[in-house]
Amino acid sequence: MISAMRSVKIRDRFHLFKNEKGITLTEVLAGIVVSTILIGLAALAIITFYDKYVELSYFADLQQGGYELIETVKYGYPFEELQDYVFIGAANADSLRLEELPGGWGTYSGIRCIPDRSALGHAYDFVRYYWRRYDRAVFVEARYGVRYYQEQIFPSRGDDRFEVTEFTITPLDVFDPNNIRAIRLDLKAEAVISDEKKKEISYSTIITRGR
Amino acid sequence: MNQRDPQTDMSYRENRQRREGDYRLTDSYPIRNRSLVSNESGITIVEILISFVIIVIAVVGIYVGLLYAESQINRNYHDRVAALTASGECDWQYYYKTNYRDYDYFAAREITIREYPDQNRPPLTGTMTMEIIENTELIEGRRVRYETLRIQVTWEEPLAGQQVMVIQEDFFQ
Repeated sequence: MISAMRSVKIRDRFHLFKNEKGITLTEVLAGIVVSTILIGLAALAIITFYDKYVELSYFADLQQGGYELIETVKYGYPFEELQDYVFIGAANADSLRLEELPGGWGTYSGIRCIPDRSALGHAYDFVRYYWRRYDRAVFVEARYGVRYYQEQIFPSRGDDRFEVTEFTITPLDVFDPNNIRAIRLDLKAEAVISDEKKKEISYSTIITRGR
Repeated sequence: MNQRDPQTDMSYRENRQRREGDYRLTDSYPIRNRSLVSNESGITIVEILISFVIIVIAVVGIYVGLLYAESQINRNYHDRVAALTASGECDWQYYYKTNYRDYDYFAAREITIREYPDQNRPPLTGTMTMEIIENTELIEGRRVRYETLRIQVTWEEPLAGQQVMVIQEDFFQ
């Protein structure tokens, strides 16, 4: 009896190892193929989504930045004054004058806006908006009271996603070159997404002084 | 009597079958226990197809979402171009009226909303029109005349049809 029981136990152990639940090579291969296809599809979708997201995000930021630049030139750059801001731009200037600034990469075209200088200590105030070809960016240079400003306004400094390719100011209805009353502002800028892919904007508007 | 004979006690055999019978392929077990594949805890073709369908739906959803986002951003850009053009024209008319006491009239003017980098693709153009509307308003018992300058830009937005941007300003005399 004991010997019979022992032989049953040995046989059971033998079957236990031999009949382990597992997967065959065919199943492994099929699983790899199916997983590869599924993961490939998902990865392709994610990469496409991310590329398009970057492209659209650049384009949206470019539009917004270009629009804000035009608004800044028109309505003014904000100068802090006693916890408030003073805006000096082309539309609220007392006089406007086109300027060609010499530079290493040719001349920089810009516009000088002279605000109301009647206040004490503000006899030399000015704001100048100009485009630098080398930097492909628009800058503001200003004097307000005793303070002097120079800042890259679009694209902001360090932001290499965008380039301003054209910033043209054309005077309209000119009687006095030192007192231009209306200008046409043409702005072209592009977002460099990759070597082959770029997004461009082209804005054009008329700004009149004294509105 | 709790003692059981392993050779005659059927419940013991049943327990043993339950424990290991489904995985055994020995002759001592019935054929129904050989259904090895059906009892595997793997994935079936239906589950694979469902996974495919889910992934395809997700991909199509993302793609449609991207197309929608792109069309909205393009539309936003066209709106901005039209708004800048119309507000610039409004400024110009104000300037002209102030300095020359009349408007710089035009019936319709073609404007470029967007130029595409692809030279074969024609630019998206629109039409800008100008209209002067005579109005009166009662202010403190006096009838005051004024003119409303209405600048309208119209263009055909791809996938969205005709778009109209209107900027108007009142000129009191």
